[in-house]
Amino acid sequence: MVYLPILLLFVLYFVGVPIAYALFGAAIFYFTFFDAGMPPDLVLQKFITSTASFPLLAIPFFVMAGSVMNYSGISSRLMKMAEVLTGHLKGGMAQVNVALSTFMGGVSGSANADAAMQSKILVPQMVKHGYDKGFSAAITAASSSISPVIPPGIVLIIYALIAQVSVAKIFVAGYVPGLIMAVALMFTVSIIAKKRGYRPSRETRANAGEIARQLKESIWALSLPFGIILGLRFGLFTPTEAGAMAVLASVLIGVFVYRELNLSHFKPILLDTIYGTGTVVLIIVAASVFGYYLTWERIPQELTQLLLDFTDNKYLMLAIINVLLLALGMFIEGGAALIIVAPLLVPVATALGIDPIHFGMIMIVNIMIGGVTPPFGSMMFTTCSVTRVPIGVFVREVWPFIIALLCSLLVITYVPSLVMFLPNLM
Amino acid sequence: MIYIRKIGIHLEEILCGSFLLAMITLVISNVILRYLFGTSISWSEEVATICFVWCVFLGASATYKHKMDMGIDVLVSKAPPTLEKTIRLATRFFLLALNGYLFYIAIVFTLIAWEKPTAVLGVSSAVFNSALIVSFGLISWHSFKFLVADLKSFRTSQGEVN
Repeated sequence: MVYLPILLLFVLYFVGVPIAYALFGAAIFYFTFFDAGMPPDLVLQKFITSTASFPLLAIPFFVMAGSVMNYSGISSRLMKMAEVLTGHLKGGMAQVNVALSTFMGGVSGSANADAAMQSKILVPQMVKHGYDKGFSAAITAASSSISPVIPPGIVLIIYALIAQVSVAKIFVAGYVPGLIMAVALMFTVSIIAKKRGYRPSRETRANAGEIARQLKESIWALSLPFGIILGLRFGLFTPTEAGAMAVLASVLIGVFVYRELNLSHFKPILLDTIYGTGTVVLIIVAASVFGYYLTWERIPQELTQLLLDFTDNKYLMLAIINVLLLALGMFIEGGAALIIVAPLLVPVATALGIDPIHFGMIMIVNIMIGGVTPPFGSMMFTTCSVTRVPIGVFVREVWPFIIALLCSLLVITYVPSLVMFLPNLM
Repeated sequence: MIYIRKIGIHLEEILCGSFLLAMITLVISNVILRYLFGTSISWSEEVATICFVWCVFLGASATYKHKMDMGIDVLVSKAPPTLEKTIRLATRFFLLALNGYLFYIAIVFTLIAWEKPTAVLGVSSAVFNSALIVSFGLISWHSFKFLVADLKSFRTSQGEVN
């Protein structure tokens, strides 16, 4: 009986009730119909206490900063930068696709936004250059999993708030895993490109002058995340203030440096932020209301004990958690999945002596891979719907990239020194 | 008249956008005041948080209105047409009932906690809690409209079959 709300949550979710309302529904069902000793109107206090938190303000600010940067002409500059650096490699345009996602991590920080943008801009160009459409969609979805791992991503902030770890450290920790994923995908692209004869998009490697020129164009966009991290590291501002300053900085860059941002962009930026915030934060609120039920029934403690009884070998535990998370990521959108399971799994990891920063990177990379994987990966849907590639075709093309990402996950999971090298310097 | 109607249609976005701008202005001003003038506004954090709460719940209503909330539709859309429509209708009924109930308990909760003051300004905590009333009130209204629209389309398609 105690687990009935969990069953209800899944039923509601699979019949098409949005995840936030499925979580609300299951939690309210519990507090209304079970004799929990807590009147449902008092549960509403949780709606407010979980929202009225100053650190959470960082979310709309970083969503807004990403949107401002997109309207400032930064995306096109980063694309040229990616082209200059990787266009000469085998499968040039597919390599550009991966490099662009890596750079865009510092701008959009959202896998779905990145997948949608590259599906619109890059996939038609790839098809025009003779790339298979299914392949183009597959590499776009796979590479979009890198963006949230590279700072400053919303998912990184959410994890830091849930696990109560330093935002600056989790930001810095994202660089190495993001680069490992990028290298794995680029390596896979070059193998496929060699087999299929996908040619480089430029004849020769760019010379130092060309790279320097392009770097000068993109330097503002590329250096902003470093500015944020340094500001956090030296205690100049809190994560929330860092988000607000990122908005201010990106507006100034867009207006005075790139001269592309104008008043006509104000409305779409505001709408992007409103919808982005409304969706993400409502899930956080709903998950914490649902988490209230879980805590009330001591389910996290039971789960922790159950997992620890099963094994106290941290490597085996990481393998089990990885499989669980991959499965979850295939069904639930990345951010939502993280919000729901992080409070359950972080205590398990901590009990086994796994650093919460390292564990955060494992969770985030894992859930992002789930977003590319059938049957319900959210980036898969975004890419397929924008490019109009049938899901069957997509699935045939995406497997090599999923294997590459899984190999990256193995490295990230079992070589913690790689992930922890940068945060340990702070 | 058209102008007023437009405001009505985009009410959530207009209010939410205003709260968003207010909170970003407050946070940036506080950083600037701290570094340039060595001072800060004591109530800034609480007012920014109030704006955030309103922004989140009004934003939630806006995303609900545009059916932008994250969920999966694939299983239902694979069902036979009549079953699909029946599930969709049942879902609409559920969402109306849930949001209507949340709207009701939001009123009860706001009234219960009316006397409780906020930490810094000392005003009634209704400044936070009433965001729930407005938001779930609007979401219930949207749920009702979606249900009516679906019922109409369900009846039309049933008529065509008969």
